[in-house]
Amino acid sequence: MGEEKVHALNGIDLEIEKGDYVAIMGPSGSGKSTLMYLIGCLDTPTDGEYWLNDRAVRDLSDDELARVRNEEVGFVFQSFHLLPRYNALENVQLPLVYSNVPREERVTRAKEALAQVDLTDRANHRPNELSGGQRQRVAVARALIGKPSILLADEPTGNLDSATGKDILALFGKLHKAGNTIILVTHDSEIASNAKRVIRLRDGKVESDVRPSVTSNEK
Amino acid sequence: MSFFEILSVVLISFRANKMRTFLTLLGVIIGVTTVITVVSIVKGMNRYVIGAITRAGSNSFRIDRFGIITSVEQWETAMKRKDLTVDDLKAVQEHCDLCNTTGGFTLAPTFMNEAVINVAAGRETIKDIRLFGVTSNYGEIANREVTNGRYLTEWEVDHSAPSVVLGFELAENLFPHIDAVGKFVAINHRRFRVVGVLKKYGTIFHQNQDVVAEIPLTVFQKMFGKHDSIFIIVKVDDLSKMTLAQDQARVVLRSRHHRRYEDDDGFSILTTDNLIQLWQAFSAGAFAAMIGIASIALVVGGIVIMNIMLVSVVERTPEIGLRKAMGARNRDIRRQFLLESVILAATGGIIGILLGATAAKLVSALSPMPASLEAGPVVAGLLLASVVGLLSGMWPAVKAARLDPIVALGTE
Repeated sequence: MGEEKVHALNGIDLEIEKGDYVAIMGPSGSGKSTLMYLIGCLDTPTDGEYWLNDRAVRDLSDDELARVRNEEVGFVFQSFHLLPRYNALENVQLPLVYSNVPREERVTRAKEALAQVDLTDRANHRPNELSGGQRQRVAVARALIGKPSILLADEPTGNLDSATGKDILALFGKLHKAGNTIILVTHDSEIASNAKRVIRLRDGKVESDVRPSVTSNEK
Repeated sequence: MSFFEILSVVLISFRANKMRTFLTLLGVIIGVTTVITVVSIVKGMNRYVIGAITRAGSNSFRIDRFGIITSVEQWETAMKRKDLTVDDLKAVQEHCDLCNTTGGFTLAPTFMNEAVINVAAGRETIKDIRLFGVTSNYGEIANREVTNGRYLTEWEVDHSAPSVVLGFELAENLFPHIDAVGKFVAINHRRFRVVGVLKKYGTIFHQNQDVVAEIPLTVFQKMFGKHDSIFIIVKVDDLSKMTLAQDQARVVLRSRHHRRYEDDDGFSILTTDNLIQLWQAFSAGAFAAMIGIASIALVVGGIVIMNIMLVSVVERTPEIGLRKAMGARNRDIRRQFLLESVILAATGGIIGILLGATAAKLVSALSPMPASLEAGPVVAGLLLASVVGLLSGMWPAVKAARLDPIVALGTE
């Protein structure tokens, strides 16, 4: 790098409980993406520690990281990231392909996952035959299929109109009630208000960490 | 991720880019097609030519003024050699007791001094045939089979009888639908009576063996003079005496030609083994040249595949990022791209094999050259293509596997 060292994150000390619904907020450049990549095990910290289910992620090899991502993290991206040439059912199966689950079991579980997001009737459609909201629901089903410890969503409503965005957030609310741990990364405080805990970042540091308990529950 | 998993991924991406896939494969297709075609044709030709050469029998040899000439120097020394004459033939007949049957023939020079031989019957004239002057035992020594009529007799040769044995095609064309035997033909305005028709022999080295006419050597020399060297052919009944018989004949001729001890023979002795060796040397050369061409095509094909795989890696960067986020290890990604490249090239190989086999079939259908497709070249072609795919896929695959998932996910 250059002469000046820039730390995307510096001095962050966070603990996220199982079953929580957390929003990580901050303007661009605040380090929220870096934090998300760390949580999602796509990156490892240069210094400091990250423990996921009693495992020190910093010491893991590339292959072990891949395995943790496969088993512990379910990603939902802003731009969906569905494979265009696969139908919904096949897209949902992707994580199981990398954990060597036999085909029949994969199909059964993919159907279950699609049912969880109310898309059973769209199983054989390809992404370009689905609406934005449906695509994101396929992505959510894909994130859920491996029964991960964390559902990690990066601006999941960013590419959706507000009505569809609300549907997706409602889906997250439902999944949270069903016991899933959800971490939502967003710059939008209105979306963040759906979560049970809101962590605000600024310049790589935690600015605030609050539980806006009552207000958001009414949704 | 299992092999079949990757296979289905690969097939899906092929289907999406049919034209591109085909163009990518062109180099490999051309390379493998060439290999298969050439190998099949050369193998078939080998069998055919060796069959044709050995038809004369491995128990015979030929003494000839020139022998096999492969360089100008050889030509120059051969031009200084003495002609072989009918007297030489008689001397071998007399003094070589291991030579069981000794005969001779001569051949009208077809293009060197423009002595074009025409044969006519009625209004039909066929130009530029190959005319042989032969001894009556030529048919036996050279295994000439007569399907209709008979071969020339000793009496006919001794008494310069105007009799002729026609090649199959010549007889067919001069006397369509009727029996040629007993009819008369004119060879360069001389009248001959057809006594026999030869079996159909096909083409060897671009020479149609069925457009020939064989007349008594004595008649031939009356027509064209005695100044041309003749070929002496010898049949040896006991194969184990072949070398001895050749030596005997050599001694006879050397003494007749007054060769001194330090001189060379002044003539050449050719056996079918010589001819087979010559042919094999020649076909090995042609083979090597074509394999060279095929290798260039394969290298180019490999580079094209590498190029398209690199493009594919760039195009599918988000997909690679996603797969990594979903738990694909570096080696899963590497394997996916490597296998894709191998399958791509092997598909080209299969197409090449089919095209090559078709080409070989076509050649054998349109020409008398047989082509034989064997398992060896097919497996080799497929293997070759796969290796090309493996080599050209390596770098793109490593590049894909090394992509940082965060960066990869960000590019869209």
